Amino acid sequence: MAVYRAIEILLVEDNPGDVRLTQEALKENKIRNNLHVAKDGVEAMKFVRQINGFESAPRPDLILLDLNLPKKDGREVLAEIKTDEKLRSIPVVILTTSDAEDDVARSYDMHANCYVRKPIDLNRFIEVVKVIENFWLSIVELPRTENR
Amino acid sequence: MNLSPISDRDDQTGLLAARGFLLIFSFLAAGLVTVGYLSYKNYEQQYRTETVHQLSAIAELKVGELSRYRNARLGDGNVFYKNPAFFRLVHRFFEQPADADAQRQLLGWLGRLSQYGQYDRVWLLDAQGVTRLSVPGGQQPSASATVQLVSDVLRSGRTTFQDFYRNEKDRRVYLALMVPILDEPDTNRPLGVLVLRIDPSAYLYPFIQRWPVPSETAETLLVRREGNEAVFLNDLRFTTNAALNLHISLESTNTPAVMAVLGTDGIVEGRDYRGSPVIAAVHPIPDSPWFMVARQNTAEMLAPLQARLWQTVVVIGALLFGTAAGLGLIRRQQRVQFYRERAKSAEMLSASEFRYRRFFEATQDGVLILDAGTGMIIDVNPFLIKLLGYTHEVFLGKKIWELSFFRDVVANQDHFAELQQKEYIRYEDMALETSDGRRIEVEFTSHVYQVHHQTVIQCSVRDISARKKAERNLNETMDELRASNRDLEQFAYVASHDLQEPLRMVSSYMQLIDRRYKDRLDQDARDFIAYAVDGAVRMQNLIDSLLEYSRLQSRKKPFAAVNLTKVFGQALLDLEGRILETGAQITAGSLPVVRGDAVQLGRVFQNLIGNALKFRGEKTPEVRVEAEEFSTHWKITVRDNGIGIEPEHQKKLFKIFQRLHSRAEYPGTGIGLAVCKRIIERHGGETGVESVHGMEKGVPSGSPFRKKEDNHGRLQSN
Repeated sequence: MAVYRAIEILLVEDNPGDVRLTQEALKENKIRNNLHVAKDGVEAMKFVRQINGFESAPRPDLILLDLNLPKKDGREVLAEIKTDEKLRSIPVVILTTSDAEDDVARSYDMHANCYVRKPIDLNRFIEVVKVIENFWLSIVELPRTENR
Repeated sequence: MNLSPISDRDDQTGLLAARGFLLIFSFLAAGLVTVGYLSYKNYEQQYRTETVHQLSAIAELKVGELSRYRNARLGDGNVFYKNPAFFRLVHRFFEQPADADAQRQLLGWLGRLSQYGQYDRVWLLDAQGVTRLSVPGGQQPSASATVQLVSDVLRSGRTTFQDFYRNEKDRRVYLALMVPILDEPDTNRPLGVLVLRIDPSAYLYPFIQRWPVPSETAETLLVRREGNEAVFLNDLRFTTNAALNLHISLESTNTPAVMAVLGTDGIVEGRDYRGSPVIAAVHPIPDSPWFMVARQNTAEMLAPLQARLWQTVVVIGALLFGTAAGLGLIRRQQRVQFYRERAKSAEMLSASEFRYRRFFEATQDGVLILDAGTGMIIDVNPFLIKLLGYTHEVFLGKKIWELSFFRDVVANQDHFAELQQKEYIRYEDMALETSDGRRIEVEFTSHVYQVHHQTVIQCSVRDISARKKAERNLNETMDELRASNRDLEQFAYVASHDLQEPLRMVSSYMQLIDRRYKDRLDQDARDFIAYAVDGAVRMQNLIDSLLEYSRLQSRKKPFAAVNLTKVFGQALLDLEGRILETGAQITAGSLPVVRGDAVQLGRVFQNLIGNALKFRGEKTPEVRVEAEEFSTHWKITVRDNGIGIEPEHQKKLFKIFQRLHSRAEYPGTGIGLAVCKRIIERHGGETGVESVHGMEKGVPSGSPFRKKEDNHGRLQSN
């Protein structure tokens, strides 16, 4: 089994309960990760662009993005990332409470890589996080290996 | 205002009718006059021809007779001319005047002549012109003209007719035939002359003057030419002692006698010796210096013509009068009819006017009548006065643009021109100011029409304030409703997100506690956690169902033709897993094509068939879908052999979140049939349920669809 560096994950989520839940779910997984949290869309953009106090922030390998955020909501964040040449290659997984079809359709229109409804069942949530990790591995494995 | 335009127009109609009659009469009259004229002319021509013919006939008869008379007289003469026996006898008598026998014989000869009646006297003259013998006897002096002529005859030796002459001794007119007494071998030496004198009054004059038909003015006369004059030879009807005394200059060419002597032969018109207009037949008498004039006064001759003319005039006049009277009678009849009808229509009109007046006064619209020419207000109805709160006097005698409260409608004369020009105008959303300063919304219409040669504009003012208010209210309500619908959508969205997040927190952390601290918790604690999590999960399902239900409206698609067979097939695909799991037999009859929303109708099939699978009881599920056609709609039935529904529960069946069974028996939120009901309602249909107990236990769910061709209009309003 290849030895990976820790994955840099940016979670954009305003609900501390969800943040904690995500952290807890990630703890249960074997992959090493550094979870960074942005509480709103504005902060998320500063983070990914490494500006305004986030100059030393790492480039995230994966962004978990909630759609309903204060200040700048997830849809805007997604649009900005996917229209930015430097950032568009970062996989973005949409985490949302609703399965409102509009949201789903729009997210894919904006090139979200994945769309996941936050399940109400913790066990399923942990599975979802696992799926996300696997998904990430399938995406990142080859490029990362080459870099080494 | 007067709405009875009867008199003028109808008088005009009457006038037209009268003109028509006059025209008909003129035609008939012209015809009659023409016929009369032609008939008269024809008669006149015929009559003239006849008359002239008669005149000619008389004249010719007389000419022939006179000619024969002369010839007879010459014939008498020829008896003695170159008669040797007579010559010898005369010679003997002249030689021996005393020879009584010769004298007796001569007297016998001459006496026979005289007796014969044609000669009033016969003389025998010797070569010296001395009378030797005379019958009748006695001395009768010869006229000087006779004596003169005797010598000519003696010299020429030829029989000579002495024309009419006057004997200056007895002042009478005679003719004479002078026959020289010649021995044939010695023609140049007449022995003497035999003079046969004719008294024309004995035979000739009466003959000439005789007219075969009674006549006032007709007469025949003889003339001869003497130098530059025409001389009348016989006594005339209208002047005394005319024979040989009456001369007419040849310059009077107008006179038939003159025309005759100048050579005319035939019918002439002119003036006679008296100057009267006459028609005459003039002819020369052969072998004589005489000319015959048979004449008759034009007046007399044409008198019958005159009579005929008058007769014709009278007849035509009578006919014209008759025609006029007849036409007059018809016209009168028509006028009577016309006036009767007019009276009737006047009565009806009066009733109509009364109705109009009632309408005008009672109508709940304001009415204003204007003179179209001047804009002057002619009439205003009580409602308008009441509506605006002004007095009658404010309106009358004013021009419409002078009413300040009408300024929104007719501000000035230019606006008024628009009313004049357009036959019909309708303004909505006009405002009029009432006397107490309120502004009322009105609908204003104007019509232009003719009354009694006067063009008027009728303006109607309808108070639409209430309607406008209702419209505004309706619009407001609609706006509120739209806002409310938007809020509802927003609410549904919020519900789906924001209500679920706390739920997720509750359940997730409960589960996290269970996961991390399982060992330290007793069974009770773990049960409680399980209930809490189950509640949260159900809450989330309810919220999802509610969201789905609300989206039936917001996610609807326009109607199109939907093939229910395809929809049915799609529903089976969607339910494939559960069908395989239950081993259900699902069949369908022939399904129609209807108008609708394919996605939503698919949902109906999916829910109904899904229910059948869910509430399946002990048996293997059997589901049958059928369609039944009605005149206006289709009835679609989904029949299953499941657990069925008790009749007392059927009312609750289609209500949202209504469940008939515990979640332990049949899980679910109770949204499925409510969704079906809402979809079918949106398609203009109804949902229902029938339970059939007995041989086949089933739950049929009826869902009638409007027919494809019928439901278009209805569903658009949904």
